[in-house]
Amino acid sequence: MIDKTMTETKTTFNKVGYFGTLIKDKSALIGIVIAGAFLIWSLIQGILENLASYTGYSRLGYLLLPSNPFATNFSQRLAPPSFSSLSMVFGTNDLGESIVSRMLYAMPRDALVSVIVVFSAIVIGALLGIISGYRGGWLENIIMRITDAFLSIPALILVIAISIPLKAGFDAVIIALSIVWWPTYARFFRAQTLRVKEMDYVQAARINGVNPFNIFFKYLFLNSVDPIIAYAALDFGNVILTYSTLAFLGIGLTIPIPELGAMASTGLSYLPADWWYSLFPSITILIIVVGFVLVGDRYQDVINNRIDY
Amino acid sequence: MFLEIKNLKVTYKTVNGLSTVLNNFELPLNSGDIVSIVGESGSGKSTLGGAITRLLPPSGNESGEIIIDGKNILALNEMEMTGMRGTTIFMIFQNPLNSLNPVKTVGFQLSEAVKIRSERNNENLTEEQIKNEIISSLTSVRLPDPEQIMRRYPHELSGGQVQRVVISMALILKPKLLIADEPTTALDVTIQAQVINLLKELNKKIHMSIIFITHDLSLAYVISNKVMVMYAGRIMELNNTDDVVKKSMHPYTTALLKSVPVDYKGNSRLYYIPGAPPSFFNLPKGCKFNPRCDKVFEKCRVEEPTLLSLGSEGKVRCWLYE
Amino acid sequence: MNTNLMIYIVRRAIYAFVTLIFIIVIVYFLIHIIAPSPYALAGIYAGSGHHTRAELNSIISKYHLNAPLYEQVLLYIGNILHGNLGYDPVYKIPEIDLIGRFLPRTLELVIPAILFSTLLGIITGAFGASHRRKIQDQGVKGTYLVTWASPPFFVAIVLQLFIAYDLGLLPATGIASSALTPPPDVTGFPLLNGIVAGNLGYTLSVIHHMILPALAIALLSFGVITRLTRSSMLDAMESDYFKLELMKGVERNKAIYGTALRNASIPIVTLLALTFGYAVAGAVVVEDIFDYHGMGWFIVQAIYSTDYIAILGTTIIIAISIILANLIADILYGVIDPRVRVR
Repeated sequence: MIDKTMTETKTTFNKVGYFGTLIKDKSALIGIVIAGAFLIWSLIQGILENLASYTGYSRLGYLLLPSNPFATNFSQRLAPPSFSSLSMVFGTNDLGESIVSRMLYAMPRDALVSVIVVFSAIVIGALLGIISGYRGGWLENIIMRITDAFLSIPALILVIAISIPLKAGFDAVIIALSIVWWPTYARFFRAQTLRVKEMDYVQAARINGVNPFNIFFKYLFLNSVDPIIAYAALDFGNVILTYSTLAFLGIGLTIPIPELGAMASTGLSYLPADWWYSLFPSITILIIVVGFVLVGDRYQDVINNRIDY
Repeated sequence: MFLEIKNLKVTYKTVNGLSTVLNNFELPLNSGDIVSIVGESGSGKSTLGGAITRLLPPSGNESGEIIIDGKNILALNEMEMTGMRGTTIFMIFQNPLNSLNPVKTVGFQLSEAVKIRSERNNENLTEEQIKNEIISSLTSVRLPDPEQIMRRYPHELSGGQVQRVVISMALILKPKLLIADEPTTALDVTIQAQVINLLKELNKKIHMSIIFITHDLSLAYVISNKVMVMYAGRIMELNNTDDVVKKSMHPYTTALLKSVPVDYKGNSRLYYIPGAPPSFFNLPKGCKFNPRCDKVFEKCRVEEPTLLSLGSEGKVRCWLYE
Repeated sequence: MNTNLMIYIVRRAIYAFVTLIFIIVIVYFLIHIIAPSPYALAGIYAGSGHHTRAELNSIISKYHLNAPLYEQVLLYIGNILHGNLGYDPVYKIPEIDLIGRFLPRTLELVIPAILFSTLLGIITGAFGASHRRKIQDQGVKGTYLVTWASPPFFVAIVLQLFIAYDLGLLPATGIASSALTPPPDVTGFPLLNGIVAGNLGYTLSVIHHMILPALAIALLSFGVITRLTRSSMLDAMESDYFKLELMKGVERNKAIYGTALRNASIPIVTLLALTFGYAVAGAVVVEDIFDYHGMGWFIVQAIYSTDYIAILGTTIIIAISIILANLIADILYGVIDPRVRVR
């Protein structure tokens, strides 16, 4: 039985909805704004970059940027940040390219990686988790041992092991990350399945011969969608961190397209004198990830009825 | 008067602002009384328990006066309040499965209680005496093989056994006021009866006053000499148990009585009150029960009735009695 | 002794072993999906650069790449259980010897880091939970948020830049001062070598060089541990048994830091393996930046020289270490929490 004071406050949540509660929290709102701005920017800029490469009209790719991210200017090499023009706010790199323009140009790839990896992880995890929880027996045992096996290797290391023979390109990294990212979701869905399986209405649906996938989409997936959203929001941040770490190590890059982690990495050799080269890309990653973690963290608080006003 | 609650106001901070659960709440209790607080979930009855013990969740806030033995406990600091808990006020929680620390043995948890009481009363007990006291208190709550029970962890006991361990803790601490928050809800019917009898015994033996929180009017009838019916944080009716049950005044009480199953009449259709209790965020205008009331009239929808005194003890909040 | 506990430990050990076998099989299958033909596989094994047909053929026969898949898998499992991780094409010595050289250095860095971050994370999380809705808790939330969201290289760079370069308090790179002659390598662990040889100067230099990279690794897992401690502390503090403890008349601080913290740190134990994984992954970047020649640094070198034998070998060894960490965590869990054993 739930504590009565909890049920009292719970009723209000049901009325407003989790999301309605979430946006009333200041820090969650900050997170939503950061993550939303990042995703919307990435969508627009990503479309423009693709249009540019399809039409061959390269100006489209930096239509919205302060300057052409590939324009080198050797008289402006390693210029410190200044407010003389928008393209100079974060300074320039060793080739005299504008750091702010390159960072904005790089963002769609981080967004793409995180969206693809998190969604494929949810799909694979849901499939394996629900099957193993629903069927049980030897199938469950095998799937869960495989899940444990994947969880025993840090994602970063496993991605390195998979993507190196794939020649370590951008696609290889997306594939490798998708291969290693699902186990947490599989565990989550299995636990939910075991819980829901025993409920009366699911038992009844089973006896009446309702298709198991209908049962699980309706009763299980949609029922447990809130904790998944919370975890996935957090996980976007985790994927971006791992991806930028890989880029830092030189994996998953397509020369000459800029990447935040790779910029931070190249900038390392110019420390400490030309600090802006490495610092701004790093801080940008930090802020984006903070945005996602804030959303996920607060969402979990809302679900657990633990948000502090 | 042993316990007197005056002007108690309890609010919770929520996303939608402050939610006032109890307002202008009052409760007089004589030493040795057993009063039942009856209401549906969401009526604020459990909040009352949290308020008296000052263990509201962190979002809660309380003001007013709760006077026990002449001391206003809302004016005490945390240290002084700690001194009140256990030996003056004690509370039994609803869910027996969670109410003992899962990683400590039953014996350890009871010995803590003995030590707290003996320290406060300067009793200077030896380890042997502590053990004997635990064994005798476990025996008085009719747990077989107490020495064996002491070595067990909570997950090795049944719900009824855990609840009896908690009652034996009350026996050890000998508080003047015991608050029992739906202590039998999670238990089998046969064990329910045993727990109720144990509580009645405690009340007789050590003259302990009891506030019994329940949603079940028939339990209230069995255990208490006074009944308070609550709805949406308000007292709807307060009277001697016999009067409440036999001559109920408030339509809500009458409805609650009708929904108590009475098998021997052979009438298997169970009455239920239509609708659900309101949320504290959109309480209806006028009498809070008016949307579900079968005797509602115009005035009920406009103005909320005050708590009217009737005769010596009885009180009711209803326009029918104005 | 408690038979339940014994059965529990044996069962966990069997699970750990089965998981290990699964890992080896999975890794082998992944390589096969990536490189389906024996020649492609041989090319990967041979490392970067051009290889003649004869060289590839010799690799194929050496690793039995022509045999049926199940035979290859069994052979591979057998080899690994015998400690044979292949022959490194870059260093021209058995892989296991290379890993034996680099692994202890990383463990020496990672273990103190984990202990430190776990301890600090538990204290911080508990502090936050006990000051819920106050400014202190806001601070705790902000701290775990930022350390969680920091890219590993950023943490390392900031520490190196400010503490080593700007303030000059600690050395920026290396395992020990290059001016010192290292004592004979008896244990594999530089710190222990220094102690065994009674070489105080070297020992201090090793400690000096360890602090920054270990701190960087510790900060990486600090956020996760703090967040988990805080939320499981709140779980404990909302529980009926915690309220009953207060109800008995136990002082609030005693109940928080005794009962609630003790119970809340039980799930943290299960996090040990996860933390270890975080730390090892973090060590890859941190060792690269601090030029600390451990396993992480070795992996980065292997990436640059596409030394695939080395990458596979380190992956398997890391997996084994994490499985062992997991097993230890499981056993500790069983010892601390009586409820676990019966499951």
